[in-house]
Amino acid sequence: MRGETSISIEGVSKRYQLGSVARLNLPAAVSRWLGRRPAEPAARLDVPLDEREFWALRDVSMTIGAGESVAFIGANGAGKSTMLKILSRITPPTRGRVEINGRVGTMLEVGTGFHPELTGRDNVFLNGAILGMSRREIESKFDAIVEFSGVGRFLDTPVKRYSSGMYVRLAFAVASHLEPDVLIVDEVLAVGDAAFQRKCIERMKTIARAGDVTVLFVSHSLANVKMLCGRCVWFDSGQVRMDGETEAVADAYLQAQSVWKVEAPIHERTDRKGDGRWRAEHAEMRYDEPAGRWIFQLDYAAEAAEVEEPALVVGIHRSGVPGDCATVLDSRCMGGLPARIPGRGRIHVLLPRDVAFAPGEYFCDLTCMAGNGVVGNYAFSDQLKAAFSFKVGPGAVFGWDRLPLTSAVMHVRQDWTVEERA
Amino acid sequence: MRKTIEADEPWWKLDLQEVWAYRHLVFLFSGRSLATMYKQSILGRAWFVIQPVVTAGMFYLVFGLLMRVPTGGMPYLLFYMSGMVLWYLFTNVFTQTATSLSGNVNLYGKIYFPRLVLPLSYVASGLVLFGLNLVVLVAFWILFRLRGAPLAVRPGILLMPLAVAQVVATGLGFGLCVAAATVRFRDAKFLLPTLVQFWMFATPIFYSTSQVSPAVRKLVWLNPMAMPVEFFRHGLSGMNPVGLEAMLPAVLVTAVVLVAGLFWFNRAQRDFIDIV
Repeated sequence: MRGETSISIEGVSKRYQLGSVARLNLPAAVSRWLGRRPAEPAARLDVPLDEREFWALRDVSMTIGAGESVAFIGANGAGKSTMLKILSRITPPTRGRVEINGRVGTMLEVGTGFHPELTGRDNVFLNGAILGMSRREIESKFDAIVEFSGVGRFLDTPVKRYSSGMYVRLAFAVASHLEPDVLIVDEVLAVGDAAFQRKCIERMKTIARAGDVTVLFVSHSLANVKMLCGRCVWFDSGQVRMDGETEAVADAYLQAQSVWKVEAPIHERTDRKGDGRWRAEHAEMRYDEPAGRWIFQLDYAAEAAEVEEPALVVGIHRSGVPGDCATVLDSRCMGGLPARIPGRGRIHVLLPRDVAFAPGEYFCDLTCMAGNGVVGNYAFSDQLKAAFSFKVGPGAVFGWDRLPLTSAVMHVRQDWTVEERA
Repeated sequence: MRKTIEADEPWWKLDLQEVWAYRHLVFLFSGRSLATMYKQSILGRAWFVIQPVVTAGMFYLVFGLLMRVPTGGMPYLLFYMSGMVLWYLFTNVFTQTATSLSGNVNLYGKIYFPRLVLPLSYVASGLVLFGLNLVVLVAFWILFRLRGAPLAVRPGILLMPLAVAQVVATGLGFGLCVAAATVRFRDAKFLLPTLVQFWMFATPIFYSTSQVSPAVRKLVWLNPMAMPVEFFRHGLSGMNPVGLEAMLPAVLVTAVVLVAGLFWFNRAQRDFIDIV
């Protein structure tokens, strides 16, 4: 199978019509029915044509080899799910053609076609058949399906009595045991509890790695995408923006998707919060090559000649993932700042030599605070989100030749020893 | 297996081979609807027999005792029941097929299987229910025969499966047309119950075509449901034989509608998910 083409997509476009298409327009309906021309929406002159239609896909072409695992990523409405729907024949393309070699199995939603009144056992057969399995196939996989789902005790109970978790487990078990030539999976792994999710991912990995099934996978979890797929296609407003190795595409996507953006240099920023007792003027994070350590540096200025009880917090975030904090520098933890600092000055924070940031882009929040009279209580003087950013290249991690394959954001230096045991 | 998905598939391209490949799904779907029909009722599957018996009893009460219409010598109960049994089969197939696209958007939006599978499963489950009704009907037939009713067995009885086939084809054909029409003209859905009711009165269930004036009778025969009902009664009683002047229009109308329905449905099902 390897080396052959599994799916070839040629110039596929998909148009959706917005607004009402149910209007009775007899001449248009007749000519449509005769198949003389593509369906035109009922003419409404007050709305320009391009507002009445929406192109979910525009002239998309690609070839996918047999046994390849390809992820489709992109923002909501970028066209990736529409592409899956066309490939699984739920909706036809408006233009272009698709050729698929082999049987297609679709998992756009877990449990489609489950009937609440039927028992788990009956539903396995029904659902399997809807997904395209023959009776004999289902019988031969039945035990594996039940085993995987872990609902064996409740097989003869109507599924309406199942907890939602059991329901989803059984449904995924059926869907993941059908062995098509092409498996199309939309964001269905985000179901069930953590343990089951892991099991699902493992199952998907087994399918993807076996290499005799072509897997198309849509997910918003880049971690899952990286784990499952070697190739990644980035959809953007209905077009393929990038198509290539997952790492490269995912990183480019993250960059573009990043909700973090440094709007302007710190001294020009106006979107700050706080009473302004002392303010940041310039900040940076730099790698001190000779010293082999990261150094944070902040230039500040205060209204008064001195700042009493100052505190500084620097939140360092990995690009693209809000809330995913790499680490925090916080002066309050180790008594980092003295009780009084001069009205104008420069603060340095030296990070230890044995810690390094993983390659990528980082965004830093700055919060300057000062004591408000109550011990251990602070008032915001100056707060800036995404005050500045810094980039880490692949060479900056202790000069390591290769980096561990992980989504870790910090690396630590490590000494390894081996000794013989008696 | 190589599959090409084209933007413009010609309307005449009916992939019946694919439907055949999914035949086991037809039976699973019909099994599902039969299995879930009386789930959680106390009497459960007994309803499959109770339902037709109770209906027959009601007919007897209303039409046998209260309002007596000439039946040409056929016992009242058998007369009405034979008509209703076929009519049930028809409405079963017709109404379910008519809503098979618009009523299953959730399913069709998530998974692909040939859209003709569901209508065919309605035919299969409809035939099973019809079979059960038929058993009750035959039991009454034997009872009446033993009590000396003038029921003759004619060779025409062997052709009764053809009458059933005509009913199924009519239900399927018109159902497919309505299903295709509701995709763009949602209004068709609201006309459906009225249409079924009107159609029932236009079909000789509560009366016999022999009571209708010859001029009107020609019109009645245009109704593709009239012929099978009368044909069925003839098979059961040996009375009122049905001639070619009844058969030809019925078969012709049904054949045209069924073929048109298949193609229209085939065209409508392709992109209906974007419209409904």
